[in-house]
Amino acid sequence: MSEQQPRKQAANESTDETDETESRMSGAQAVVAALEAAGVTTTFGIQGGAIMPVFDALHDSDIHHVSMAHEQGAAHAADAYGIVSGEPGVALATSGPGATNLVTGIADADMDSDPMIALTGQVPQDMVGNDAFQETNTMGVTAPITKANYFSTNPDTVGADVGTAFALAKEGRQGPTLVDLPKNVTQGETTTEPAAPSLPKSYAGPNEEADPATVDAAARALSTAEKPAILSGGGVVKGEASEELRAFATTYEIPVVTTMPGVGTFPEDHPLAMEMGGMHGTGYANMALSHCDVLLGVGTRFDDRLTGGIESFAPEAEVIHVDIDPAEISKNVHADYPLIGDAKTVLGQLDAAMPTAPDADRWREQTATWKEEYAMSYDAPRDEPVKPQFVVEALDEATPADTIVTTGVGQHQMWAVQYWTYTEPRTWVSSNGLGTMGYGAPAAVGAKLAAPDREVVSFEGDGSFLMTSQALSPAVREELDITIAVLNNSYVGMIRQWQDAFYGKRRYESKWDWGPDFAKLAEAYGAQGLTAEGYDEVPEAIEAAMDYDGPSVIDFHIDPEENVYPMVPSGGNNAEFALEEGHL
Amino acid sequence: MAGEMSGPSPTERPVPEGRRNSQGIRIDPDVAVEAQPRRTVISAVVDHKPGVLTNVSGLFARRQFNIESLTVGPTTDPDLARMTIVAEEPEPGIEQVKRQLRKQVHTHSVREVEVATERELALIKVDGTDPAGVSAMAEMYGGEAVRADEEVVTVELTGSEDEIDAAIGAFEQFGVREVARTGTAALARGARSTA
Repeated sequence: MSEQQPRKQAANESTDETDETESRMSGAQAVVAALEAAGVTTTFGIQGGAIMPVFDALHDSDIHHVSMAHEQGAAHAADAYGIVSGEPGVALATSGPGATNLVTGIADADMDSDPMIALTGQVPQDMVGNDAFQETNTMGVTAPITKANYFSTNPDTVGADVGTAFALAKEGRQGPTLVDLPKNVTQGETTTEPAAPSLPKSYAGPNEEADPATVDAAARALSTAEKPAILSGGGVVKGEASEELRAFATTYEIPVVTTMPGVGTFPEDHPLAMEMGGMHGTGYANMALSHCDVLLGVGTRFDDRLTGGIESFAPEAEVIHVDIDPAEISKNVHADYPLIGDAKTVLGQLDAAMPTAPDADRWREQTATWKEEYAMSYDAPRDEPVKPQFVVEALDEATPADTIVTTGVGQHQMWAVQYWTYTEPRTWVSSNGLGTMGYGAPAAVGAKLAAPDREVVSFEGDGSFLMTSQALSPAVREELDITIAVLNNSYVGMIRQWQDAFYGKRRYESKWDWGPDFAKLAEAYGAQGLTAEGYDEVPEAIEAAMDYDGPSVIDFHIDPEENVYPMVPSGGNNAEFALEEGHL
Repeated sequence: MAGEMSGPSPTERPVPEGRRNSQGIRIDPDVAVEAQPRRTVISAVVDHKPGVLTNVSGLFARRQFNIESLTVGPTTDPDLARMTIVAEEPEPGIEQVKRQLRKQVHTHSVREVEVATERELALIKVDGTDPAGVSAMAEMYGGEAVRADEEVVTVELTGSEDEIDAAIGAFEQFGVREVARTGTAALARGARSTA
């Protein structure tokens, strides 16, 4: 704790140089000071007994605390804040149920490597282990879903614990961290002012540069490829490498597929864009993945929703795998050229090492043909219920290019990723890995607070929105100008689609026609509530939402029988994606 | 509802001929062999703090990594502990678990100890009907009878896992009542540091 010495002296300049007047603070004040030293301006969370000292300290801080209506929402808001801003989002909750309600959001951040820090209250240390009121073993519960978690034991070190957790959330492969704060620690006194965030000694800092010999070999393989493809993942977003990836792909004219977290890393309106691959990816993306002979994967963990069955994934490709986390190399797909390092740096290394551009005119013609053959399309007869794809496209047209899209999980999420044209990183804010229904609304709150000058549109299903619609309350209170588009088919639609396809059309408990009137629900929260039925009402409702200064909910009554295609069934062959149910 | 997507159906498309095995390695389907499990000793230096053992055992459990034994003890540095893990896994799993273990924030170093001095300590409680025989057998295996009580004799042994297995087998003739084993501790041979 030697770092704080100069600060302490500076703080004491105007006072007597005695221990008695040395600035004393509570452990809770040290926690808040650590957040301030880390540059935190916004926190999300909910009050509770064990975390009260920290809230009391926040009272005196310039940090803007956003009370959410549920801790799960606080975690998702913090997660979305982290995705949009690139800085760890902060979620605060009390012990016991406060902490366990955060768990879904922490697990979500862990799966998507989102930078986030959770601070949880805990019963006083002398009661830990006694099954005290609102006591949960938060350390035990969150160990498997955090990058690191810390149990604070001392007011002198609690600030440093928070700083370390913050630094770790952001460093290398990002992810959620947690600090458990026993009440006696936050109420205790200290004279130790927390320093800037620092990493623990044992932490293996990430590689910046990949092994040069492997880079050379990979560059040779790529430059002699006849059918090269790039797979751009979430690591490109987190590593701020989107610009480098675009330059690399366009310089060497290599078609680019993205993973779901990688959406936005390569502009989807570019001729080389194959868009998203995998289970509900485009046909052309899956054709490119299946037929390429060299695949450059950057910042991707080759998730099963992307690869389909591993036996048939890019089965003819030599794989160049760029990742900052050595544990991702050859975890799911064998890497012929493992390049462990920072995405931005390694793309620079590869660029410098490329002897020539690959001679791949025929392959590019082929991929262009696939883009035409398997073009994303849908029929929209005007006398029938509105197609959800139409709603997504209409909202895309009505909003600027840098609009941030958040989503829940299910069919609406897939339409939102398929029919919106993403051109910038950090505009796709979704629950990619964990698949958390209800992510979209609280995420919109976090996203808007991270980027107040940008439009935020949240796509939700009726089922998904029902899970976290209470996020409307903080959205109204904070006067957030966001639009929540509910693609309402009165089903948990993806379940209905799977029951139809894989369970002999035995629809069971998937019809959710018992939900609320979402426009009325919005009005009850003090938001603008709109309903759009039929194609004529879609533009009107969107215009009303855009004109309104505050949160709007549009309940779009969509075709209840519409399904998401293309589709690769779970564990299936990407090359055999279905274009309709009969293909499954 | 039938989709309105355009394009050739799955059966009308060119299909790539290659395959990968379950470990994601490209293979010739006709000669493919899956990697066989092998025994390995992994040594890790970790923070000597509460919760670390839980984390590591939790990591093994959720990554479905089968461990035979796991020992923890202090090192010359009071802030650090050494973990020795004996496991039987196929090759890619071993590499994966080393990387996952190294990734933990509390882990300082990890190494697979290929040429190691391995020892395990065992306490074996056998029937005391023939104390002299038990004592002689213990000596034969380089151990000693450390305690004789009414009806039972307790023997202490150190050796490799195989040696201990063999010794326990040999003591069966006296009647083995209970066994306590520490699991394998290992250090790399020679001047080379273990982890």
